[in-house]
Amino acid sequence: MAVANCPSCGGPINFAIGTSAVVICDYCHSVVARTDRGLEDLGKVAALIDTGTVLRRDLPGNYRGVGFRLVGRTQMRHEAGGMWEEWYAAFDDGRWGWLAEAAGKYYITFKAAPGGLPTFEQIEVGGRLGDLVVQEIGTAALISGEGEIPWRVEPGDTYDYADLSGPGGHFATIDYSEDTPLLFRGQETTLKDLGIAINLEPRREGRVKVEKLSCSNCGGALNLVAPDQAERIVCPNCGGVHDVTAEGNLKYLDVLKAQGPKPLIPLGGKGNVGGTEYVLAGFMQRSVTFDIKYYWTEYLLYNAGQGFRWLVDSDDHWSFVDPVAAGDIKENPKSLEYQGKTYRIYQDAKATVEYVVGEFYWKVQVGETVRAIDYIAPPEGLTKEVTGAKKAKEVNYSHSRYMPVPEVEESFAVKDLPRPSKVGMIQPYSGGKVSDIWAMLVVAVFVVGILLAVTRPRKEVFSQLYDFAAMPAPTEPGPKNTRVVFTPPFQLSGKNLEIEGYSQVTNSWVYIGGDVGNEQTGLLEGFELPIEYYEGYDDGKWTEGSRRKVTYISALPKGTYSMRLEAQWDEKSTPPPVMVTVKEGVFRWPHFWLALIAVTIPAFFSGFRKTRFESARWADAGYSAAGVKRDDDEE
Amino acid sequence: MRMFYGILGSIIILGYGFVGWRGLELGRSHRQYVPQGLRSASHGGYRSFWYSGFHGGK
Repeated sequence: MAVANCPSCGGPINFAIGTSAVVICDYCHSVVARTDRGLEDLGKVAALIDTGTVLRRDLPGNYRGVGFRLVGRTQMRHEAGGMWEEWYAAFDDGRWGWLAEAAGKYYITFKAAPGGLPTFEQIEVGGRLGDLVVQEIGTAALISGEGEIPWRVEPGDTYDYADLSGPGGHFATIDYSEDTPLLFRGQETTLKDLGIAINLEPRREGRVKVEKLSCSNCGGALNLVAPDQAERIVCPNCGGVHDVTAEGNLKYLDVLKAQGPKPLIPLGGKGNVGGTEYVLAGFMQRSVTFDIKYYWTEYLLYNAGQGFRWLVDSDDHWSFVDPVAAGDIKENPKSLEYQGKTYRIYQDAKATVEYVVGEFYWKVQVGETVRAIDYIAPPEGLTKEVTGAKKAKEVNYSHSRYMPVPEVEESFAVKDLPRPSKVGMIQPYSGGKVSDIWAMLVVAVFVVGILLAVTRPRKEVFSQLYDFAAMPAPTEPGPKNTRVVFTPPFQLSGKNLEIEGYSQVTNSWVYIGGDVGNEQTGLLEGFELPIEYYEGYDDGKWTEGSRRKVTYISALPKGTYSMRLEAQWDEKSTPPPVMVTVKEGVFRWPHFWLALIAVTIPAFFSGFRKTRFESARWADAGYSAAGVKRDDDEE
Repeated sequence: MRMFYGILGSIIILGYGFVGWRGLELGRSHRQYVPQGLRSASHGGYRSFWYSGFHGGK
C-alpha cells in the first residue's frame, strides 16, 4: 500500500494495489498517475454521475472461487448518448477484472492473449472472431471515475472499442486505446455469481430526482418509470422532447411535431408477462416502405430486475420481445438458428421511427432508421437490427413470442383490443399439426385390416358346376331359355359371403338371379350374377364384359343354407356351364381403402387450409417461404 | 382441430373394424323372410313356395 498526497489538492490518495496505474482523487477528481519520476497529475475528470448503481467501491466479492474487491471505476459515454460504468476488481490472485455495468446487466472480463486481432478499420459488425460475434463497434468517452484504475486514463480521453458476444453469455471487448489492440474476455454475469450479496433492486435515489417532473413545455406531469435508465423523455401530453442530462436534470429540446396513434395500453400502465411485472415506459410508431408505408407500434416495457422488453402490435397481432445475445445466434445466408430452432428470413427493410412518446433508454428521435431483418419460426421470430449509416455500428438481435390478443388483454388489464383481420407474421396456425395423427390413424387402419384378415380367414363353403342348357326345359308356358335349380345345403358360420359365377361365354350372356335362403328360418338374401362377355376386332382386338362375376352379401346368421339359382341366357346360343362358388370370411379391400381415404380426407383438408394460411402469411413478405427475395422490394 | 380429427379418425377406424368384424356390406340389402303362410301352405316342403310364384323379392 502506498499512501501519498494528491499533487493537485494535497488530499490523501492511496495506491492500495501494486499494479494500479492511476488513482482518482476523491477530493478534487484529479487523475494521478504513478510514474518512474513520482506522481503525475493528468488533469481532472468530472464529478461522478449518480447512475443509481448498487455497486460501490471496496465492495468485496468472489468469482469462481477467487475473492476480489472493487477498487475503482470509470464512467463512459457511448457516442449515441448512453452511459455505462466499468468497475475494476482487484482479485486475490493478482489479476484485474473488468466489470462492466450497463442497463442493469453485468459483464466480467479479464485481459486475454490478443493474438491476431483485427484493426479498428478492419473489424466489422456481424463479423466473427472464433465463436464470438462482433455486436457493436464504437467510440467511448471518459466522463468520470473514482478510486484505483489499472490503466492510464486521461481526462477527455476517447477510445475505440468493439464488443463481441459468444454462445452461453460469453462476452469480449477489443480495446483500441493503445497501438496494439487489447482483448478482454469473460462473460455476462450476475451479482449473485459475483458473490456480491446486496439488494438486487436498483437504488432509486440519485437520478430518481427526475422521477416526478413536469414537462418544460406544457407543465404536465412526467411520471418516469425508469429514471435511472431514461435518456430521452417525450411528454405524452404535448410531445415536448426532453433529454436527461448527465447531472440528472431534464433538458427541454423541442416539441415533437409528428402526430401518432394513441397507445392502446396507457403509458405508465402495468402488465404481467410470464410472472414478471412490467411498467409501460414508452410508445413508438415505426414504419417500413415498400409499395406503400406499413406501420406498426411498439411499447417499451420496464422491469427493474429484467431491464427493458418490447410489446409489438403489428396489424393487431401482438408479440413480446426479448433481447438475445448475438453469440447465441448462428447466422446462415437465409436463416438464423437459435436454441436449436431455425428461423427463415421474412423481410429485410429499413425501419423508420414515425412517432414517439414516453421515456426511452436511448436518445430516440423521429426519423431514426435502422435496418431490420425479420426471421420467423411461428409462433416465434427473431429480428436482427443493424444501426450505422456508412459502416454498421451495432447489431442487436431480439426474440419475439406471439401473444394472442386475449393474453395481451389479460396481461395488461385492458379490454376490447381490436382483433386481427389478416394473418400475422408469426401468428401460429390454429389448426395445429395433424400429420402425426394422420400417421397414427393410417397405422391403425392397417392394424385393423390385418386383424380382420387373420381372425376371419377366407373359406369356400360351396362350389358346383351347372350345365343349365342340359337341364329339362320348363313345362309352363313362357320363355324356354330359363332354368331354375336348387343347390344342396351348406353351412354358414356368420361371416360375409362372396358369390362368384364363372362361364366361358363369348359374345353372349348368362344371367343368374339367386337367393341364399336359411333352411330353418326362411331368411332370404337375393343376389344377381350378370355374366356377359363380348370380343371382336375393330382397329385391333377389343373385349367387353367379363366371364367372371362376383357379388358380396353381408353375413347371414349361422345355419344351414341353400340357394335357388334361376338362370337365363341368350336364346340365340347355347350357354356353357356355369361354375358357382360361395366363400365366406372374405377380406374386403374396398372397405380397407375407404377407411384409409376417410381418415386421410380431414388431413388433406387441414393441409390445404394450412397451405392457404401460410400463403397469406408470406403474401406481404419481402422473401418467399423458400428464402428467395421478391422483386417488389423496399424503396 | 387435432382433437376433432383424432375423434373423427377413431370413429372411422372403429366403424371399419365393426363392419369388417360383423361381415357387413355397404349398400342396399335384399334381405327378407319367406312369409310363414306361404311356407305352410305349400306342398313339397319349404322349397315349394318358389314354384308357387314367389321370387325371393326380386
